[in-house]
Amino acid sequence: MSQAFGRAEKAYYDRDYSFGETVKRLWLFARSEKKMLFILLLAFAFNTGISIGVPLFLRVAIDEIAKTIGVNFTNVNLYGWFYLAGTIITWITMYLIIRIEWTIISRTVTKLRNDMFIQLQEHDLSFFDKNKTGRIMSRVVNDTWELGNFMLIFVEITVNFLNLVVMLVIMFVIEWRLTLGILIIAPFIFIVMGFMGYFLMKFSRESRLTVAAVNGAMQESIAGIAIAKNFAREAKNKQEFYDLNKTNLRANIKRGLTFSILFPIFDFIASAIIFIIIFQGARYVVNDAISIGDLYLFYMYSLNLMGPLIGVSQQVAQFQAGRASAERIFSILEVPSLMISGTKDLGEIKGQIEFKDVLFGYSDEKTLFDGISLFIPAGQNVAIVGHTGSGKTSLISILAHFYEIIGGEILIDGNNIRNLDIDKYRKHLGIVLQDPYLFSGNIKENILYGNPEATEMELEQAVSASHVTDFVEFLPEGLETDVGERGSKLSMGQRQLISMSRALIANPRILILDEATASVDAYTESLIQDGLEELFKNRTSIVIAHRLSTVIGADRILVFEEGKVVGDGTHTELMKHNKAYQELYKTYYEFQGVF
Amino acid sequence: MTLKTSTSTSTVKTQEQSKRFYFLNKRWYSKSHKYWLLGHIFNHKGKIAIITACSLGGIALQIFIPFILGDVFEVYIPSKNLELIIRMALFILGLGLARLAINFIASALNEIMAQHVEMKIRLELYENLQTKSMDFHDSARIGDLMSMATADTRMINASVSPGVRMIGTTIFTLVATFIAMWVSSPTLSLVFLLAMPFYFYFLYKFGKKLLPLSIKRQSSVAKMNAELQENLTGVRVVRTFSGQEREKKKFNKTIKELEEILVTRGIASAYYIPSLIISVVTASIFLGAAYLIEASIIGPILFNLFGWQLTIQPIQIGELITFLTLAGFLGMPTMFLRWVLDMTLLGLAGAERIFGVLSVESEEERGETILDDLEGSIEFTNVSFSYKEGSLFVVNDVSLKIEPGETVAILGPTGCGKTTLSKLLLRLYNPTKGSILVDGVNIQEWDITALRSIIGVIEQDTFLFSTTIGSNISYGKGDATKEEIIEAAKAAQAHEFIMSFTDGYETMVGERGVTLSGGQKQRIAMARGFILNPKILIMDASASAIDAQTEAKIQKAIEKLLIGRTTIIITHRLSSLKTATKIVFMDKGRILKVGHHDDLIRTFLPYRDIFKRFTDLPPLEADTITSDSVSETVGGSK
Ligand SMILES: Nc1ncnc2c1ncn2[C@@H]1O[C@H](COP(=O)(O)OP(=O)(O)OP(=O)(O)O)[C@@H](O)[C@H]1O
Ligand SMILES: Nc1ncnc2c1ncn2[C@@H]1O[C@H](COP(=O)(O)OP(=O)(O)OP(=O)(O)O)[C@@H](O)[C@H]1O
Ligand SMILES: [Mg+2]
Ligand SMILES: [Mg+2]
Repeated sequence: MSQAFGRAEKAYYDRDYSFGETVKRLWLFARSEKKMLFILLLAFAFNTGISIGVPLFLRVAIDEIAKTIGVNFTNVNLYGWFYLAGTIITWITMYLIIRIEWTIISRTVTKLRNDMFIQLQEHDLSFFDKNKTGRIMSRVVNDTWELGNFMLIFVEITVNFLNLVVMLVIMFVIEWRLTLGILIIAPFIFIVMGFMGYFLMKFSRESRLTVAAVNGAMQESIAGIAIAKNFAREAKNKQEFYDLNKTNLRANIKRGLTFSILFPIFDFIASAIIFIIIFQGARYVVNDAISIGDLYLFYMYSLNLMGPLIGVSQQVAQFQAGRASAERIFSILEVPSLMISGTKDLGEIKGQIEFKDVLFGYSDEKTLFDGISLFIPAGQNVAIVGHTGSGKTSLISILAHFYEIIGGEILIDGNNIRNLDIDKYRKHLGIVLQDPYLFSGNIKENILYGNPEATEMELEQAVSASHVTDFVEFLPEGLETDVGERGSKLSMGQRQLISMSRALIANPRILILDEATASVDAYTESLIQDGLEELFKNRTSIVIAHRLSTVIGADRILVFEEGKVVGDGTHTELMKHNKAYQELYKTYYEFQGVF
Repeated sequence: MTLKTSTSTSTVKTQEQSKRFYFLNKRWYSKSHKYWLLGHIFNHKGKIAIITACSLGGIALQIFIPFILGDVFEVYIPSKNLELIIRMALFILGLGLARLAINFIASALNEIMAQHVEMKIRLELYENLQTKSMDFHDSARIGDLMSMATADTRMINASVSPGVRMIGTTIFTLVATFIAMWVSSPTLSLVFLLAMPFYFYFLYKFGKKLLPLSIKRQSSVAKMNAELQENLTGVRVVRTFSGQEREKKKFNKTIKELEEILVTRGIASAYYIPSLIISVVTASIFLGAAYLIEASIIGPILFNLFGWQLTIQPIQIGELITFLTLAGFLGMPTMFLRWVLDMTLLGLAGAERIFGVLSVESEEERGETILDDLEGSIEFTNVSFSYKEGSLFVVNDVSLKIEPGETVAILGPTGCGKTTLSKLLLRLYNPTKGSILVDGVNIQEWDITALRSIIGVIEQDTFLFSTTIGSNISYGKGDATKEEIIEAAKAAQAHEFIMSFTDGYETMVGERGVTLSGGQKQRIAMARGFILNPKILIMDASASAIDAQTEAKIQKAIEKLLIGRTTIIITHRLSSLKTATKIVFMDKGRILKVGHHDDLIRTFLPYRDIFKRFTDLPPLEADTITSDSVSETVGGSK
């Protein structure tokens, strides 16, 4: 046991897509680049045309020179100039092709990433509870890249396929029996391609899956570096990371080897074609069925056949390999968000909250709230107390519509939150989360995250009400101090204070403090406490706290126990009648008493 | 107390050695990232040799086939020798088979090698990051480092994979073709030779233009990575403040920038002059030859150049055809060269980024002292520390002696340096001034792993891994038995809630522990610290998210646990303060007062201030320190 990093596993939403499904979805993406792809097709066709044409000129010109007598040098020179012009034009079309290809790749990748990002913003939080950051990132960053090259495959396959058909037709015209002879190889090619495709897809899936696990482990081990150091666990982590990498390496090598054998096989097929031409064709010549010149021409053309043949096969192979990435992207794009939200905008709200028989659980097996009902009138100051794990934070989470409830309804001013425009609704909530997460950037940027349009005045108010000023004034860079990722360059209490400012500056109708001062020292906490009354004015507020001293003054205290409200009233009321509260209070004061 | 290994010379030596972390032989680090990358590649010398040999063999065999074909067409078919023809056909098939084998070996080995290089570089980065100081990690962005471990290593792989083989093949083809050209027509080769400086000049220009764009591209990818990573880890905050639209805009802007760089780079990559040079020179030669042939019908042409008599020999048509065919051979490798260069430059850009991180000095010189029979005494002597050079001291001239077995409580306002003190003790940072001794030995001389494994920390900022609860608890002790895990969980009052989960100890925890409540997380972190059975235990605000009842239970449970252990508790809870043998009151990095609860509550005003709000305090006694005098001391620390 004792595994720090997860293994390579499929996400619960991953599914396999059939060939048809993949192509259909890809086509939807390709369609948005229709014009570009069409231009690319033209450029390719043009390029192929010229590269077939130029040797023809050259051939005629050489034939002319070879005459030795009566050479028409005007023509030769003319062809020479054509040749020169042709090479320059070829270079220019090649330039255009590469340029267009890059444009298409870049645009597709950007579009895919954007779509995925947008989709990620839609999910409820249970999605993020279940999926590791590193693994999601692996899809958005790496898989999209693999897929970007995919778009070109449509064009390349088309061009190569057309090329192939034209070549075959010409060869049929020259000598149909020989062409049929060569086509004997076709089934062989199809079988090889089938196998290759199968293995490429299989190994690519494996490779994408395992690389995501490596990324996940990398991400977690960097994020948890301090813990690894604290527990002197570097060596063991290293071993685990090695193992994950080894698994990935094996999958990558399998995939790489499959690709490696592809080209040699096609090279061999070229030899096989030559073999057939000589083996079969020589008889025809010996039997005087065809001339030796015909056979030579045939040989030359069959060599030209190889280019597009290899091209098509290579693209089919790439397609199969890329399908793994495509699947991972489509899976994440298509996993439906569980959020149910409407478009209703309440404008200003009063701040009345009602839970009606709310049924909720994080997993299907167990419910946390079995029909909880609560009514909080606008403007009330409610405190929630209770043992850890009793569901206090969860109540806030469903109120903020982070998760979907299974039954019942949550009403704000009488409106079901499912009908509300979720962004507009959340703007009325100011929540200080239990985990004071800060973004990298400076203190000011973090506070303004709560309300980017805040004025200097509002900023100052929020900063002083949360006592951020107290420590900021000692920082040389003041509010511009860099906080580090997640706020790692600040002390825990400082992070909490900033996270409080961030909520205050939003000037919300409903203010929620979830253990907002748990890591703040008792003295500062008491100072904040003094200011809270002012802050709670004209607001509905919910305060969650373990330090009972901070909630005694609340209008109303709710006592939670295992997802149920077992006490409801003011401090004095509860002290009189409520067993659970008395108990909490008693231990708290025995425990925290001075003497 | 015995010292296992501790000679001052050896300590000094290791100090010098381990300033930097070397994954490969040290000499590969002496120059640039290119040299370092070469070091990784040269780990596979055997493979490289085989790959090169195979590639050359493959080319040689390929040249064979046209010769045989020529014979077949010119001799055997006209002579109607069917048996020989068939034999030749079979021979060609055989050659094909040999090429199949040789080519496969070459590309398979190259592939295996590239995959190994990629993995090794990722492992090196990983190991190197583990040795970096916390300072480094404080300022680094995870997304950026992630991008190095994924996107950049990937690019290195892509450049090594066909690169090694291609470079060999390309160079060989170029050289061989040139020799052949020279042999077939020195006159025409001269024209080519004149074009060569331009060819190489533009090749150089191509690389020169693409390199900065490649670096830009890779750092732009990293930026995207970092933003995405923060959006995902901060999802709760984003949602709370309806930041989705803003985030979308921001991300969109970043990927649009990346798109632009990709397109610009694509255009630069498409603008590849060398292949134009090759084809234009070839075409010009044809044109020139045609004119020459026309002119030379009359006879050799004589030039008079500065008195030199120059004769240009008439060109034969056969010569011209051979030459054109050979020139055609140059086109392909030149095109390939573009592709290989494009890839290689991306790989180099990745290598440069990674090497940049590798080159940052590693954490700290590791001492070698490992003590048996620990007692657990700690002594801070005049310790001062600031996170950034030249900025304010976060810990300021702290002297503190903690006897073995003592329970010391540290308290003070937010940001006064309590956590920093414990980080210093763990040597996550080194003091700017002063020294810290554990059992009388300066921690600089301690073997760092040994030091850290005798100190157990229950950190303030709880971090759990997204694995099972059981694995999280046994994190610091891989060989812990089920019983030990349960025992530790019980002490932390975690057993009960863990068992209430359907999967018990096998329950998966979300990233950083998101699927647990705040108090549950803390208790698992506590169990993780307890299971180590450390000589020195630091509990940093470890009960801030736990209700009083549970905390009381925990305290009772660990009473036994704390016996014989040095404990540092960072807390504001009265209950912990009361049981402490010593209370250290800090403010702004200084220790203002050390004493026992009963004394402090009577005599020390700042201490009283904390509690006066919610309890009745005993009367203030004489020799009181007032807030005024305190703030004077504080003022002095600025
Ligand atoms: N994201 C989640 N996924 C699954 N289970 C969860 C999740 N968040 C919380 N839980 C579980 O739901 C229960 C209630 O958790 P909650 O966070 O609401 O407790 P709490 O009352 O806030 O506790 P604390 O005081 O410790 O913060 C706990 O058993 C917890 O393990
Ligand atoms: N990694 C860091 N880089 C730069 N400054 C830091 C870093 N960590 C902490 N600080 C600063 O050092 C000071 C002391 O921080 P520390 O975490 O030790 O405080 P603390 O006493 O533990 O506070 P709290 O009670 O809030 O946990 C703070 O002002 C903080 O901003
Ligand atoms: Mg909570
Ligand atoms: Mg702290």
